[in-house]
Amino acid sequence: MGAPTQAIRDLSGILPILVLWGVALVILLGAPLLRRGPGSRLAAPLGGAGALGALLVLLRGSSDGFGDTLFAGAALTDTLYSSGAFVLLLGGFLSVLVAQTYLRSRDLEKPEYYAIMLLSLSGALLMMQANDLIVLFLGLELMSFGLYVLAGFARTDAKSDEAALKYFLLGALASALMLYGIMLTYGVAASTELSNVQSAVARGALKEPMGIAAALLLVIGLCFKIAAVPFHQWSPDVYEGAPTSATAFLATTAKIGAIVAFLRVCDTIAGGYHTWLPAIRAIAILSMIVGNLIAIAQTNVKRMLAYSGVAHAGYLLVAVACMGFRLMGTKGTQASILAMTGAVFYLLAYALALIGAFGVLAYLSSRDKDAQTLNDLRGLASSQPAVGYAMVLFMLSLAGIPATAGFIGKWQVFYAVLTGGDVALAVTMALTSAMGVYYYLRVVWYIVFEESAAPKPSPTGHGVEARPRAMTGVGAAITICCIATIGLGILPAAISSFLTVVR
Amino acid sequence: MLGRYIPLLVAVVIAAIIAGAMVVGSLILGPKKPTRFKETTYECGMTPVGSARDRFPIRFYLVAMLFIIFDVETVFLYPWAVTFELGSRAERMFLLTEMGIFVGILLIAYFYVVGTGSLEWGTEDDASSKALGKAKAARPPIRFGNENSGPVSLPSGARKAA
Amino acid sequence: MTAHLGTIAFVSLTALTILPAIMVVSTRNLVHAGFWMLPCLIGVAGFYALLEAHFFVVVQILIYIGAILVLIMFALMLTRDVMDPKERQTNAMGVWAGVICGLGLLASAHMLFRHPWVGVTSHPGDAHAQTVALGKALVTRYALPFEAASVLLLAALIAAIVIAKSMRPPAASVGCDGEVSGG
Repeated sequence: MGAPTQAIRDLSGILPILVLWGVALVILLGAPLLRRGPGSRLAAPLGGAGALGALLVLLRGSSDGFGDTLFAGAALTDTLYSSGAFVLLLGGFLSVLVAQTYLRSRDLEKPEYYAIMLLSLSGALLMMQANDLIVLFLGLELMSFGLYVLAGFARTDAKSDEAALKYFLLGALASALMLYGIMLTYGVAASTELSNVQSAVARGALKEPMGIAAALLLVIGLCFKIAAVPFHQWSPDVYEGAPTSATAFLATTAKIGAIVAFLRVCDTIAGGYHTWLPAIRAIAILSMIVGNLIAIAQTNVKRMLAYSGVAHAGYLLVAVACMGFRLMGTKGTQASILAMTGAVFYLLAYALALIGAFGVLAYLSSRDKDAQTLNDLRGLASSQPAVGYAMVLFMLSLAGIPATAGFIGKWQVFYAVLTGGDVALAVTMALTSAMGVYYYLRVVWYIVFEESAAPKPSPTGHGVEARPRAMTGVGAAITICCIATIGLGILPAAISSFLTVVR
Repeated sequence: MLGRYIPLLVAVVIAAIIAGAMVVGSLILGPKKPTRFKETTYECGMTPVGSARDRFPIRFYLVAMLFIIFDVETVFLYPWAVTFELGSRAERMFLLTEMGIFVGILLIAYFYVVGTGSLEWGTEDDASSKALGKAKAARPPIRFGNENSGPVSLPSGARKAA
Repeated sequence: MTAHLGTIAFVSLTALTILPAIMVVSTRNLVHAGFWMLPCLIGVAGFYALLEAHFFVVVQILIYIGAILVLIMFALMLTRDVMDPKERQTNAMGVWAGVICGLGLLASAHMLFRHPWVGVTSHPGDAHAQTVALGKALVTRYALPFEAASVLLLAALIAAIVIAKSMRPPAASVGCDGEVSGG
């Protein structure tokens, strides 16, 4: 009968998720011990071990069963999942490192933070592995619940509460729209399993009004999660209000999870591209233009990174749009595969630079002062050179300057869309990237060329307490992000064995 | 089809009629001689403390949230139980494992709730109990109109009737 | 006769759902708005009964009326000036929101009436068969989402506790207005 072997195969397919759940449950059970006293030092290492353990399990796992479905068609494992999961779990681990220092310095640390992080990561993994829209939705919710709470983790801070409430209300609206889309999908396909949806699309389901509405609602729901224009209004307030470590986590996790799910959904409904491709192209172009334009006006670095996140959502949507070319001849198929690989690499570069940048802000924050504005970065290159130049590097990577990982990611997506033959998207992407360089370089200017405004109270700091933090979690996170950003910028092939999406 | 709901409908209608008749009947038949004492809120014979239109402590919200979580769990249990009844021995072991995991995870949630003291009222509740004390101290003396009447002496006719 | 009964049931359930729903979004007293949800939710349960989704009648009453409505009432009682009827529920954008929602309603009604639903049977079977089918699907085809739902509930529970648990030490300062509820 083979039922036990099937069960073992199913379980080993979702082993990273099981590891995350297990460690999260351990943290929760131990919460009374981890809250105060000597035990409180163990919470962050446990969280880090959870993310790292899941990453190791993922890397050790064999790729034998790739392409097969698990749990009677509910989930699957393939290279898109495994590469996306690699990026996600790496980002999760780095976020734990940032959180460890930041929460402690702001006096916010609680073991629940790490448990929620791990549950959120497991939700994102579930989203990436989903072979059924119901599972995708459950994953999305599991991921989002955690992110709402992390945004409001600083409960005495009104801005943090505002961030959580805004994120929750708009997120709930997006979830409702998406659920409506899933229901309508069931209406045209009589199933929510992706393979059945694909065959329904092949039969012309997306030519009917209900199919069109279903596709558009799914697109809108996912666009909310990645903060694409015009569904981006929540993002600046949430990025600004959330504790910096939570911002780093939610910005990367939501984007990685939602983009990978987006790629999979759009790949599934590629047969009906005439319905959704114009919408995605319009949203992508709008996001690239609006995000970059508004980011120029920001003086708060967190808000600026939020709008830059909107622009990056636009670049990533260019990759999603390439899924629509899959059935347009060999060039189109090639473009869609290139775009998947490119998008995952882009996400990796984005996660490294973003977590690094928020890590620098976290590094500069202390109990009384939360570093957020350009002024807080003034003259950093002379007062704290190592951190200052790290921030410069992250800005250059986000801007897509050559010899950084950000450039390679952007180039891969750009190349994919050119292969697909969509010149309009490619040109918009190039022009808006050039526009984006301005505000990233302004941060660099503040760090390198402006004089530190505050009188120097100590040899190391500019108003920041002179505690050596290089050896703490955030120092490690910044170091890893730096090395990886340069390394991948020079030798992108080093990681291609994990990140290449094949069909 | 809908026939199975007709008894329910009849029960609802009868309940509505009886309840409505009680309210309307007492409105029509009851004598109305309001005094201040009768106008005050009835709180099981105690004198009311403060206004009932007060903000609730957030603990109530936590309890309601806990209730929802375990309520939803019950909803999952029901179709599972119906299926369990029909399964063979091997299938039952499988079903039991699945539900065991499901309930186990929520059991851990319960341990977490208890372990972190989220259900403990009173120890940390100084803020709200102090507020209640303040409301008690500040409440206006309620006069019922019978303070100066002294002991009631029933007329002899009434005593005979009793 | 049965068709007439069905129509009568449908029309009265519609009234039972829509009229209280209008009250929910228009009454100025928040607590009253919360209570108006009760008949509205009962009406929805009635629709499930009309559609012969018997399990969902029970779920609707157990979860929505028994638990979620209570939670909503508690949440309303947490707010300041809860019985103050001066609050208006709408603002200047209300009209436009209404217009957009109305258009969306018309569009989806048009769409749902015009489109034949694939694979939907008109007679879903009796209550027991439905529940058995649901239970079977839950433990086989949807085993992974089933267990994930349990983790989702766990996450929701921790989320509620992290957000709402009183975190002030016993020697907390009292007096500031918002602190009675434990922050």
